Amino acid sequence: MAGNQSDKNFKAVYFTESRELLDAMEVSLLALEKNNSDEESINSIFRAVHTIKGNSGMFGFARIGEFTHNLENMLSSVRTGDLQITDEMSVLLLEAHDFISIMLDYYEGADDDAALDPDMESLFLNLAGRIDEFLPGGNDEEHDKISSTETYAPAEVSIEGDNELYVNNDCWHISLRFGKNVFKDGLDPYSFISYLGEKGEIKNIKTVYEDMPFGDKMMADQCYLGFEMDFKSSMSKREIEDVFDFVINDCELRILPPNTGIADYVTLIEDLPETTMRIGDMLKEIGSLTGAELKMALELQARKSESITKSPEELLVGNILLEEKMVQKPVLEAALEKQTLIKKREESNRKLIRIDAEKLDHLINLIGELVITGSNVKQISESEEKIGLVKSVTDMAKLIEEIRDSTMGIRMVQIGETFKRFERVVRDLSREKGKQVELEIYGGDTELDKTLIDKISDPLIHLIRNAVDHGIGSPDERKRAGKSAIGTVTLNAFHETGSIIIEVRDDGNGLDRDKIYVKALELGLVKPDQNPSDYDIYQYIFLPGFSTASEISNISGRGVGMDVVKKNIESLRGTVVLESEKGEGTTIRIHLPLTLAIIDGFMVKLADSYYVLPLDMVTECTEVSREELDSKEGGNYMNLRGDVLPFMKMREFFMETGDEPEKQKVIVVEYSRKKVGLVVDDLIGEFQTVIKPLGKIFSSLQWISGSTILGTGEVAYILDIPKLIKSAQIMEYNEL
Amino acid sequence: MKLHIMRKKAGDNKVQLKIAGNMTIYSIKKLKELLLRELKSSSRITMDLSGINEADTSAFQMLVFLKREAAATDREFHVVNMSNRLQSIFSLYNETI
Repeated sequence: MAGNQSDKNFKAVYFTESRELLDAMEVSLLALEKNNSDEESINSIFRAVHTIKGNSGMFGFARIGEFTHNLENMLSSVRTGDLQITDEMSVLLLEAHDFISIMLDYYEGADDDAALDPDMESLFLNLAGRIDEFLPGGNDEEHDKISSTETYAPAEVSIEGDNELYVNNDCWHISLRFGKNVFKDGLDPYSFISYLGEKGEIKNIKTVYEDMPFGDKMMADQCYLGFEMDFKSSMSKREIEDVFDFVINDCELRILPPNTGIADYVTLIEDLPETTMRIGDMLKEIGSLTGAELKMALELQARKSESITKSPEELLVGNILLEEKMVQKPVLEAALEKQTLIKKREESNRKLIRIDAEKLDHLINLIGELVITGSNVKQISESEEKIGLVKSVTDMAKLIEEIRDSTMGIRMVQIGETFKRFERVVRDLSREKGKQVELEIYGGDTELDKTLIDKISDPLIHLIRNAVDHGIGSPDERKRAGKSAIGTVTLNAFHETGSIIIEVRDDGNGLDRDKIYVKALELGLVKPDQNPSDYDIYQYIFLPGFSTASEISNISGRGVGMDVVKKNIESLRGTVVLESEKGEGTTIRIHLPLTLAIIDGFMVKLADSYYVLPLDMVTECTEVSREELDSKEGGNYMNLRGDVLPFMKMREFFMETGDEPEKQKVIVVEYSRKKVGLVVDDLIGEFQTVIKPLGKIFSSLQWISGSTILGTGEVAYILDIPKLIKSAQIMEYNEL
Repeated sequence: MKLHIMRKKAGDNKVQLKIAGNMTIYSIKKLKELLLRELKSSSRITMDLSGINEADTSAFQMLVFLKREAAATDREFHVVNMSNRLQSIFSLYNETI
């Protein structure tokens, strides 16, 4: 890391990535709440926390590292089964998640080793304390101490910062006022409150019926009740609200979180219909507030209402004075601080603008349409014989092309930064495993679509972990095998005819073919009389649930399985293959499409239909007479400047009938270092196009990746060359 | 199950009531009117609620109301023997009568 600038860039990556990890963590947390034994979610949460922890350490954000370390310890016990995920814990996890996000925001503008502000510090301690309780050896006594608020002397009202006051109570305070029609609507408050009681502990509850009229005026079928309660639970506010979901239109619900500021209680007291004193007594009675806290709240409230009863001028002045004295000072300071933070952030972000991905997608869609319309105009202009028009249109087309390229370029990101993060992964894991492994990176400047990079990162981590954990042996093992003690994992990214290839290679032990074969036999994937090639056998490890016993370790359990790796890659329209040689190492090759919505195509004609091939797969075009093609005996091969070129008659493939032209054209495409000739009727030429996906009913047409609309209104199909070649091979195989 | 009320005079202006059946929103309006009348016309009212098999929060509210009403008009109001169902409501709401 040379120089300040690259340091800054790295930090920008750290923040963006940590946020992305947090997003993923949140999704998993939510999934976990639905199914608290979902291992994949637990693993993904662990992974997120683990990665944030590692990165924080690397960039010197000690407090974030400290916090995530605690969290990781807890999660680690969950993964080993020592701890069970409870509702309380998942709420804590979500709160911890939010807090990490707060810290990230904070440190993005502050110095790495800056102290947290008092609010955050108290939240830090609160959360860390609760996390510790879960860990073996957590202190239960302390827990009890906090919950019994009455034992706290007035002095125990915690004072954080200058004037911000917090209530010392780890219970939620729930304030309920039921509407008059609750009973008539067939709802019984009893059912909601008793349900709430099942979800946590109602420490104390007080019925409020101040508004109930006396004597004949009281209508027994109307509800005049309200409840104030102290509720101890790990539920989130949202979950508590959900309990009252059915009755929400028929009641007023106010919820104050545990350890909230006294100011919140002041607001509550003001909001409730009953008198201040009455409510105040009740809050004290049920233990939400201690006497001292109540006194403070009442004073605060009294001063507030004092200022309201004054004349407007006095009010203004009074307000200012009061606020200055009471609350405004820390608020003002915070605001100032925030401003400087924003300034700092702006400086560091001057070279980066964060754009809403949706806006970018919208722009790209528009440009897609522009490209189509541009092609239409070009086609039309070519039929008109006006020299000036053709020239202008050609110029415009050039400009459109440039706009398209630079817009697509916005989304393109060099993969190098992502690769570099893996150094940490390799370093940590190899140390943990007592191995010596180096990560070599090639092709870091290869550009990939941003979304693609985001999605490929997790599978890559898993593959790298696998390589270090299983692929590369210990230094001793390696020496015995006659290799250098230091193993190498190589990451390589490069472009190859229309796709991007990412390789993860290790120089380790290689896969144990026999073990996989035996396992495959066991699972009935191969029959004993079959003899699949080594290559085919290796691909079995991508199947769900396929694992040979020796492969299970705490590391592989951490990540996603190979089947998930494969699934992730396939969801990006990519493919993954594995090559391995015993004793030599393993290479995993991921092919990804360029996933550009707009492609440079080459249009050809076949009978009455138009087809578009990705231009970057086309290497050359040539002409061949029908006799020459027909006269071939013993297969579809032709002579291309002395080389043997297999060809495919597209007419036969698409089962087109009708007259063939006298001279047919051959278009030579290259994919995966294989050249194939496609015989078509006519070549139309280069054509910029936007891929429009075909409907679901056409999804079985594998060799067509989409369609596009021509200037004439006709539809052209975009050929998926790799799949086309594959299906042609299969067809040929079946014929044999 | 319908509501059954057994009324027993117990000396001067004193009434003993034994109520059985469902004390819910369906009957609460009539029951309240009846009980309030009883309360007004007597100095002491004792209710046996052991026979209440179904009850809801409106029953709770009415009993709390009667208790408050009695205190406000200086009358004695006692409940003896609450059914389990009623007891569970009172204990959830942390109220006594």
